[in-house]
Amino acid sequence: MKQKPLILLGAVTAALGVLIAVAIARTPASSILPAESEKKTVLKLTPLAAPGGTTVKALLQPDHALWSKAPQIPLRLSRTPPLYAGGHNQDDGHRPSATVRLVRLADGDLVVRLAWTDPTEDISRRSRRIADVGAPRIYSKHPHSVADFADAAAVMIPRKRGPHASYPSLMMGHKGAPVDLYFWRAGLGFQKLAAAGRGTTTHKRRLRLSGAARRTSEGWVVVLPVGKVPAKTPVSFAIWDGKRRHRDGLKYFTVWYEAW
Amino acid sequence: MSKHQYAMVMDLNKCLGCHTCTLACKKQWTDGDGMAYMYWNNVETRPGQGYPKDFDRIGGGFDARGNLRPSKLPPLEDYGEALEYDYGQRLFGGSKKPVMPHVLADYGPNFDEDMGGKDTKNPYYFYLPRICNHCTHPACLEACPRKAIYKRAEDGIVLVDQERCRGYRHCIRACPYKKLYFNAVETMSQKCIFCYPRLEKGRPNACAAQCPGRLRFVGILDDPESPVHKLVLKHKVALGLLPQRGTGPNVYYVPPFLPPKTGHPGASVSGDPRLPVKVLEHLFGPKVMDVVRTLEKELRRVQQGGKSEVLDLLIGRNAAVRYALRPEIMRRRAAGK
Repeated sequence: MKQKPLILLGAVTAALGVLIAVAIARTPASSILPAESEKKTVLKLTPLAAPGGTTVKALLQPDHALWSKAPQIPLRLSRTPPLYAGGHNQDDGHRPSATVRLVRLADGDLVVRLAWTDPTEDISRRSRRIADVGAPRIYSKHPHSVADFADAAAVMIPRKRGPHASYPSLMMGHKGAPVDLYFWRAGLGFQKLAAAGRGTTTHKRRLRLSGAARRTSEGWVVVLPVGKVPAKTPVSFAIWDGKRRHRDGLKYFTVWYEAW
Repeated sequence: MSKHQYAMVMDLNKCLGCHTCTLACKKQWTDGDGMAYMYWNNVETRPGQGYPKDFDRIGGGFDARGNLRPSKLPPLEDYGEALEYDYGQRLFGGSKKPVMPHVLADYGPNFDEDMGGKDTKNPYYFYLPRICNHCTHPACLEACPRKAIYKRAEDGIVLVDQERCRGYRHCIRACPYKKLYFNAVETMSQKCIFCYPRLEKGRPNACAAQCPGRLRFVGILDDPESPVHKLVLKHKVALGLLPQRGTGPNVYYVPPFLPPKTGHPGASVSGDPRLPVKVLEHLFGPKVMDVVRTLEKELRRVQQGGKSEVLDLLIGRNAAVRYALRPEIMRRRAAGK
């Protein structure tokens, strides 16, 4: 008999707890989260407006005069968290030093020039069939490699271009928020990929993009035309270091920037 | 896990080491660009280094808690480079130099041919033919972040979707048998397809059909009439390779059964084994000597005039004994009927 009030008190407290929890869960997100103005730190990328008559083709020259006029923005690179089982997954602390420059043409086309440091040149050398009769050289080099990976870079842009209240997931977008990827792999050239979440990347084998890549004394310079990109469209970048056996999600990446 | 499973049994006592299976597979499936070095079927001498080198020691598969434990990625040197010869210069270019391979051949499939065990008084070796094990729990499938590898529900065959694969090679690191191969031309992984297009037409796998030793048995594991069901499940005389890796291989081996080192004819194989037990246990797990004893018992029975279903099966006189492919049943299952 003595314990009854205690049990009652316990029950009331529990019920109150549940009510509070439900109330919190039902509160609209906007009232818990900081106001729109405070919540998003926009990382601005300002493109240089190209004079009329400039073509994408001309900008594919990494040392075109316009590139030196475009603002150079250093990129903040992160390393993928350990998502994979076993070795070569650890972050050795290294980050390449990477910069980006953007040029927007009069018709709205955006061209991205990505430069980063990478002391080792890792190229995917496609193996080829060597004719055994009448071959010009006796011993053709057989560059086939099964345990080597190539340097690569990519630009990710949401399929829905223009300003975003909230960004798609950095892990290749998410369901309902697909992304386009402009991908370059050393030795294999450029590809346009599409994804809507991790592991969903699809590619069209024959779809080749234009682009330019140049090996410099410090690393790589890659120029990627990414189509029409209205102001305030989110853009993010990724860099793979073949020497560190980067491929797939094992890479350096940036958070979302906005191309203004 | 698939409802039904094609499986293969190889009787290692009948393997001649002739590599006809390897060539049958090579001609049928892997003479395309970028495939020169890869052998979906290979035959190696045991004890030996294997193909790729030390695949049975470097890791792969699952640990006791079911977590993937990937190995290193074997470099091309551990497979052995496909050799190119300067026939053009020698035959047509007027060169007097002998025809030589383009690189020094210092490793390749079955590079340690017939070297076997180091016992000089009683040398021993046997051949181990290998294909993809089309595992019940494929580590390759588990490791692929893109779900490019799938196991067919109707027959358990494990395949790589060549449209989805992006050449990350996590599968190669995960496979304890190293039976996925990276194609540097296509930049994707490729593997044994258990000759599914042949099976669908009622023909046995190319490696099995061409085997002069008739050592390969093919059928559906859950079909009580199939030779693989009888050898693996009914009589329990065939074991998977490296069972401790936890992938549940579906290629099974009747362990080699060499005569004892010493003793009169008819002495027990397990009494003074020519093949060290540890060699067999390393490859086929702790149950291997039970199988050897079962086989010995069956042999004794026949020697004394009795009958043995196991030995009748293992002799494998004709295709009807060795294969039970049931293409019409598999077609119905594939169609979901």
